[in-house]
Amino acid sequence: MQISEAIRGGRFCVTCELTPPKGTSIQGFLNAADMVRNYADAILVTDNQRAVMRAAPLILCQVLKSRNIEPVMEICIRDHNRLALQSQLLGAAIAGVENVLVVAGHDVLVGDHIDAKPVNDMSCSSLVQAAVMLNQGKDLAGHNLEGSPRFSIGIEAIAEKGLKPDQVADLREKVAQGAQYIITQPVYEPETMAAFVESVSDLNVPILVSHIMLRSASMARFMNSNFPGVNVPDYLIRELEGLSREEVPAASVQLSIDLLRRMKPLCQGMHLMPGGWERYVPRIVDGVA
Amino acid sequence: MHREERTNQILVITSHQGLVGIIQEAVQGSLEITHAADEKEGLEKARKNFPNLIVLGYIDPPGTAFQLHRKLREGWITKNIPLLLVDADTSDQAHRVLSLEEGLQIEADDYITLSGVDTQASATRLARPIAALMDRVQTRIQQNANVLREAILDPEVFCITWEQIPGRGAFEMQQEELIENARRAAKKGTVHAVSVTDNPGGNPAISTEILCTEVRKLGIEPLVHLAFRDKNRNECESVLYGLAGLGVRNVLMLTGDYPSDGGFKGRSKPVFDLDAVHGLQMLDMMNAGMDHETMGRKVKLAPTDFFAGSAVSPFKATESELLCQYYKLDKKIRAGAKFVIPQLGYDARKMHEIMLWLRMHGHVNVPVLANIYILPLGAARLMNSNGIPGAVVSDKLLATIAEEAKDKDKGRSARIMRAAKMYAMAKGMGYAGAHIGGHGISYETLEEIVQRGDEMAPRWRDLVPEFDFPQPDGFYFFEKDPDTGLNTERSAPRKEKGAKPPIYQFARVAHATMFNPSSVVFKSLRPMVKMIDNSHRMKSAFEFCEHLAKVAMFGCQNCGDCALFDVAFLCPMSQCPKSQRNGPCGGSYLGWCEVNPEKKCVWVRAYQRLKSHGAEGEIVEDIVPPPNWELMGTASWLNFYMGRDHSARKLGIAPPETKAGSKKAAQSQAGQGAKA
Repeated sequence: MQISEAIRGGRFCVTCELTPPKGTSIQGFLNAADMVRNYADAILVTDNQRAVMRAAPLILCQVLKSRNIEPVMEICIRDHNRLALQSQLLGAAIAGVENVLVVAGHDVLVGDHIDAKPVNDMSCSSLVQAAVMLNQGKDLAGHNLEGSPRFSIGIEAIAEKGLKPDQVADLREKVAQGAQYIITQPVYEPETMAAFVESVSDLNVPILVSHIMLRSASMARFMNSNFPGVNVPDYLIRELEGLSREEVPAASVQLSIDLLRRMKPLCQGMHLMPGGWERYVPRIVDGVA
Repeated sequence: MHREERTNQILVITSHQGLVGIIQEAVQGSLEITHAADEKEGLEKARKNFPNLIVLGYIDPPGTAFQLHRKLREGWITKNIPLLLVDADTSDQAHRVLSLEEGLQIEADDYITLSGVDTQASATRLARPIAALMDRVQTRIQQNANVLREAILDPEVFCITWEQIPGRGAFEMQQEELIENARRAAKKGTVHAVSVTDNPGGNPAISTEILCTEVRKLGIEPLVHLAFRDKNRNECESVLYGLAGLGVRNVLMLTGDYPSDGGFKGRSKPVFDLDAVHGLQMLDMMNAGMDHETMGRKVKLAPTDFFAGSAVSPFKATESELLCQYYKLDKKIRAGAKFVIPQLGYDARKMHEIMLWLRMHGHVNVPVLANIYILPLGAARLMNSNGIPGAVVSDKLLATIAEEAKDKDKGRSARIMRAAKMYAMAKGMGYAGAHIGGHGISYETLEEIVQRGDEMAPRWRDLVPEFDFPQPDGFYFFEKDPDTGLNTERSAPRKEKGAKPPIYQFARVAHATMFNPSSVVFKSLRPMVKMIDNSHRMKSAFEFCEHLAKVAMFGCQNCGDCALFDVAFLCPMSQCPKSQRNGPCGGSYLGWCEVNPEKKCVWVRAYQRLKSHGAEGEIVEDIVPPPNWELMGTASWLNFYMGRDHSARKLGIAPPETKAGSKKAAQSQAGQGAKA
């Protein structure tokens, strides 16, 4: 099932993000998948997210597919050149993957292999273009393919209030190349989301707002300091201040529900990034619905 | 004092020296700063020093700080210590305290990044979050304050505790009501603590300790009753550590009623390993940080902060019972009782007596909570027939209550009024508070009592005549004051006769000659005793003979740690069903034993024996330790001569010198004796 088709069907789409294991043991990953599978339209598998080396998303997407879970494969331009990127995409298509999310990825310096060579052979928009070409039965160099994928292609975007003209132009370019939906960075202010939606309204693509549950006041402050474009307002942080470890989850779930309910009318879906808190996903999805 | 109040300390854990300087600058000497440079040292100091705040910066190698943060958050000792994560310099990617991935999972109380290398600017930036967290520490200390302790110790506050009965079973209405009462009490604020009795009446009931931790979660201070009937010393210690760990700090130490016959397949085994005096001593040691030895190493445990009280039963009809009650109370206070709740009773003169007794015996500052039980006719009948040990309802009071029960409301308003009047008198007499109980009492009723009691308190003296319910020929410590109906400061004449049975006279002579370390007999016998003690065969024969003689004379049970000297040659192990070594329990009635009403209380007999030569005051002198079970089954005379039992220690009888070093050898001998 393609995400873009699900959205076109008119329902509020829910995707949930899982991180592959660092290692070969996938039990934790599968447990997490089982916790959220009935609450999400698809599960997105990240690709060396935040420059931390982990198992290849392609193979985990295949595992999900074999368990009748719809996967979204993230593909990051930082770690592959154009040959590897295309071959990954073809491999994914063979595994039955129909959804890909094209991302630029963090600088290797923030990750756990700071000496890695960043590839960045292609830009995100050219990778979108390449994926569209594969859909049409040709590779980047124009050669014909034996059999072709049918990807629904997503892109990411920082949802800021004052979106700069070149940021809009960049999104416009990617959509022109064939991107079919946008997943934002986490947004904690509905006004910001409204402003973002307004500034990209003419692109006419569905938007999924992503959401990271707040683990603690310190975690919120950490995001504010270290994630460009993320701003957790003080009133939310204060809700969590002084709570004990045991008290935080319930409060955090409630904050998430309240926030997402307010943003729901603005967008076409939500993308949850539970990061270990998969067990709270059902409550949030039910709460927002 | 709560653990958090003991320090004013910040622990800085980082391998980045600059950060320590920045924090010093930020707090400007207002707080003591301890530094730990690596994970191991950090964990150790966090657990040992119990700082008010932990600041965690970068630690080599990358990822360590995150792991440590998790250990601190999950650790039993450290989980509630506020934790501040500091990124000293975000431009230096290689020395970030957390990676982006780790940062999304932190559970610290706060996180802050410092702009750069400028110490002054960084310090300014840090000062605010540190101050905010220290404020939160203060708030937490205030929230965590032991409301009961403060209410009892504050002379301006009249403390209210509400007694609840736990009930047998796990899902019964009694538990439902108890929790509901605690919830309402927590919400409304009149009550300072909810107390839960410990297997009341010697019947099995749901554990007070566990219910009390639930009560605490509801937001009100619990008062745990701890009866020594059902738990030996280890179990008591263990339960107390559990309570300390979960933040339950108030304990009422009680002997406990004897086990009822309602236990599983019959009456339960009575334990009474410790008495309330011992329990208080143990708790005092725990509060100071108990020293003990494990695997040959001396260890001092982290101190607990219990606030313990105990009971006294002043409603006694005879001189010997009452005096022994007060002797024991004196020991309890010396052992660390911080407050007293007397047994229930409805006699104004007795209520006054205990306050006066404390004042006249150097215990002016020991707070007392009046025990106010809302008394319906059924319970009054039961108490009148001595159905509840130590609880006294005179015939006259019973007749009054029976009359009231004929009212339209079956005596409800009258008994609530009676409780309110007792409350008023307690307040007037200078009690620190009231411990209110009663079957099926709602929170509203409790509030009614408090409100009416407060109203009546200023004219409490007018109420005294309504509580003139003496026991027939009942003994009072002080002489009656005919003007007030209470007591004068003059002690009442003590006319009870002493008793000097032949066995007592014989035992005293034997004691003076054979068990007096300065006597010629003792000195000359000691080498022989040592010889017997070293020979297995002679020792067995001796043990056998001693046992026969002592069974015949004293009903000896072979505890090996003889307390005959402490109880006027009456064996508290065999003659007292509760093995009380420091004074009577509260259950005696007209001098008779609570458990075997056909026998005199062993302490009444001891009092009378000692009184025959004017030595009854000796009872109050020494706190007799609990029997050492290591000596069980051994000959106590040998133990005495060889310096192994508590009497020998008290008299300074050292174990005889041996080649292997005296102390150790004596200990191992005692150990062998126990095995034999």
